[in-house]
Amino acid sequence: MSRARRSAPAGRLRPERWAGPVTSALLLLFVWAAVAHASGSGWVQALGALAAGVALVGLLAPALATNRLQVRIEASPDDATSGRPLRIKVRAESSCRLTPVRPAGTPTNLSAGKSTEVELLPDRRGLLRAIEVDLSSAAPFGLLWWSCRRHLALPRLVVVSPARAPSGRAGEEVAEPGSASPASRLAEEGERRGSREYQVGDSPRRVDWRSTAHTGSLMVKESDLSLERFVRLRAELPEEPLAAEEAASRLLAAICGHLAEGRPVVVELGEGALHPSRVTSERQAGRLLARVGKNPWGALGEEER
Amino acid sequence: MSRPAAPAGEANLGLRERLRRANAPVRPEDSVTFRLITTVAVVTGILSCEAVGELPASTALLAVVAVAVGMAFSYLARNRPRQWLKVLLAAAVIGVFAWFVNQVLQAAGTGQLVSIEVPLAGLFTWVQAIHSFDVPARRDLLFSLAAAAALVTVAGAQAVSASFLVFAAVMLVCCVAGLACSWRSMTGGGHGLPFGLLAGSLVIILAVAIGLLIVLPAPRATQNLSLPHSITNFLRLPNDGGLAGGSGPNPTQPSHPGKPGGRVGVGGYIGFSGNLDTADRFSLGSKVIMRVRADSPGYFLGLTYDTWNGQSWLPSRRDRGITRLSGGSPFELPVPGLAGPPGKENVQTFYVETALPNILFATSQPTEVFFPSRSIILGNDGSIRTTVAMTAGTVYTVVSADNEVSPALLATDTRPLTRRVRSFPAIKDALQLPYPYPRAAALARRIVARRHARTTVAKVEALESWIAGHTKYTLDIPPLRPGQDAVNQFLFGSRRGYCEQISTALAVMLRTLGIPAREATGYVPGPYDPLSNLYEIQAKDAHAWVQVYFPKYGWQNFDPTANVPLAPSSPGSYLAHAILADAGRLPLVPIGSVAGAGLAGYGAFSLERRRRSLPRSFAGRAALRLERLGKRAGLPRRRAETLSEYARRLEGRYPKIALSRAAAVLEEAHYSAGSGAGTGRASPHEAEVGAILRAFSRQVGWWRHPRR
Repeated sequence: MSRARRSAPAGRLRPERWAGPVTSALLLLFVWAAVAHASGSGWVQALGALAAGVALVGLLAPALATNRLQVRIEASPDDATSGRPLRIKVRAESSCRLTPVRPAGTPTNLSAGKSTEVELLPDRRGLLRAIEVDLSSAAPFGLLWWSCRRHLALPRLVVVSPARAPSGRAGEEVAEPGSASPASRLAEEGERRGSREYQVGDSPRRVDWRSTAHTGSLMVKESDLSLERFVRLRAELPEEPLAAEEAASRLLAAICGHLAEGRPVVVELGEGALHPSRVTSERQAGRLLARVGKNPWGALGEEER
Repeated sequence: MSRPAAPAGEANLGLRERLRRANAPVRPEDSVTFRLITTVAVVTGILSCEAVGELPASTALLAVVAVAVGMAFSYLARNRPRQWLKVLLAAAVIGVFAWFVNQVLQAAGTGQLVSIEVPLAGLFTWVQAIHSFDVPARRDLLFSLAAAAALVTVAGAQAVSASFLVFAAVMLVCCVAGLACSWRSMTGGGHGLPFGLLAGSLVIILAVAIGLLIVLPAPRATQNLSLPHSITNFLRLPNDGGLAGGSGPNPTQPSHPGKPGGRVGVGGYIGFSGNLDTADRFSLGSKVIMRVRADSPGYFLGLTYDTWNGQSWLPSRRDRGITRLSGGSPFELPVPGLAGPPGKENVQTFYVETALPNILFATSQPTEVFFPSRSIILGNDGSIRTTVAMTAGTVYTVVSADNEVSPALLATDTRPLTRRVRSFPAIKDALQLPYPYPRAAALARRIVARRHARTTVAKVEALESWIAGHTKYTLDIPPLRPGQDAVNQFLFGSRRGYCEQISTALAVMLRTLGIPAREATGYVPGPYDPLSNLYEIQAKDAHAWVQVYFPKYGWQNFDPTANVPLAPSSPGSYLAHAILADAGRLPLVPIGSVAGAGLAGYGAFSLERRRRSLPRSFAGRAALRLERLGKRAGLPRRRAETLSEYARRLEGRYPKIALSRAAAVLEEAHYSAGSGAGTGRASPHEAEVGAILRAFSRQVGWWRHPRR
């Protein structure tokens, strides 16, 4: 029962920089009418009518073309980092221009039927399931650009990690590293305590298939970590987005600092978290911090039809 | 959407740097197709100017070669901008402009500003040719395309023939194709020609243009500086004031009527040769002899006759007296005696296509003539004659104060002719009869009495009506025997004739009733060409009709031959009429059947395609229905949401409906091996799911809820 991914419904159409082309067209037609009137020539009037047809098609047809644009994202990476380019591959059925809005990015011309790489620059951490773009077209004559804003669903969830702050340790609550080596998987995961329902962010490796089969819903194994052996960090981010971004960056820097010094780290995901998560790499830490708190991307992070 | 900010310091750039940046080379245009289309457009513009006589053939040929070479050079050198070339081309453009200014000043010096279009076309052409040597980028090609369109418009202002359609069509295709190529190049969509886009755009543009032509009124020439008048072959006539030309190859020979029973020259209608012999039989062809642009079409009067001798109309005895108007164009015409009050101004420009008699045609009551000679002759009958031969290519304009009034207004003119008016020579002549015509007079009195016609216009209309009902129009009539009276032969003999016999009979009957009437000859407007806004007068459009005098409104035209339909003055109504008439002749039943069958086939195909795209299994169909109902309820299914999860979410909103149960049944039917995994065979719980979905549908209703 799978369903095809589609872009969100088209937003309101609007012309871009319309004053110049519209004024020029009106001026041209006025001059044409004046010449026809002065000369009494039917041919000038007929040519003017044709010019009006060209102008009308050139000015209005792009609205239709823009409304009918079919654009989809063909490929996107799993991970991205705030402040670093995120490259996706986009395919359009007809030629147009794509200007990324959220996340911002480089305006790119898309050729009909070709896959084109578009560069985005996410400026905050979070989960991205779609991007917001301005699709523009001036087809068929290139006289006036019309554009509309659309949400394009990403083919897969893109986790945008926070950018790592230059240095610093934040959110550290218990900073006593254990002496045990994290070589053993069992040691990493701790003692088995039971099972719980799957939550977003849980590793697929922790799925408890036996319990899942038994209960009918996806369950994951829950274990007790020997917290004394780990640096324990609590990821509590402020509500204010910028401050939260900075805090996440600093926390990531702290985690990376500990990991670089060989100290194992666990992160508590706020007050409501059932268990702390063991972190073994910067990527894992970034993915974890991307999920902390309210998703900064708002609707773009929600499920898109 | 924010755009990149200007680099710091850009605002402080000097003028030189700004100019340098503005003229910095842009990305060259590599599309050969686009360049080729632009070249064809420019060449079309130049050739169109040559075709309408605005450019000498040698100049046009030279310019075409220059454009072709220039475009090829531009393409080869597009990646290597040469500053010295720009300087050279700029100097050349300045030189051409200086030549243009010189030409304009010379024209102004001779007072012939109207002929400015020739140097203007030359200026446009040479600027195009020079510019073609430096068109490396897309914007340069677009400029060339626009300039070519302007060139065609300059030519269009002088075009009078339908053959100009070829240039207009080629230019339209070039413009549309060029713009489409430009768009493709702009977006990197390849360099080929998008034929589908081109065809679709052309259809819409043509529809818009035809719609505009239907809506817009015909353009009316305004008298800003001067009205069109020119002559290509200046041949002075030997018989000053006499009628000449139109009856042979030599336009300076005096006019003479055609031989009885023979074919006359295309311009040599028998009515333009000094007398109108109704015994002559002739045939006229369909050759276009004149094109006329007129504010409103009407009877283009050439000559009038008031002396009837039983067989021929002769010019007025007063015609020996002529008036010469000198001083050059424009000629102000004096108001003729017995003229009615001036009416609406009607500007008529005549484009002579073949040698014609030296008569200037015009609608009633001309007031001003634009003709390229030092003098013209004004006859006492109101005719206007030239002192030079009327050769092909001559253009002249006449401004008339049309005093044609409606029959309703004429009906208000009940004043009888006073003795004073009857004493005027023109009225005396218009009442002249060679003998009393007792039978015709009795017939006229009987017709008028039967219709109870009391006013002049009512009497004229009664006689016209009788003629229309009792006579037949035909060009095939027997010759008039020597000494036989044409009117009696027509009214009481054959009752067959054409405009000369019919109009003569009306004029004579009116004269027997004491109503002043005279014979008029000229042309009726021919077919109207809505594209050129011109009436194409053919040789066969020569006509004879009757002018009747009304004390209040002067001489008024009456055409007893037929209700000659005048071409409408609006291109829109003409086009709409033509399109509707053509559409009415289409075989609508077969076309409708084919179109209906096509639509039905397309509908069946769409339904079948939709049916095939639907899931085949019961579970799939039911799941799809659940999704659609949920979407209608404002709760669309989320991506990666299982059907059970989705059903639980829906159940949160509609707790009374067991949607979870339905979802569980559907998932089991879909995935369960026992029921044939993946095949979705009918589950024993199908009825239950159906009932749940129906209940859900009733709850949701038929309208779409806002998204929650």
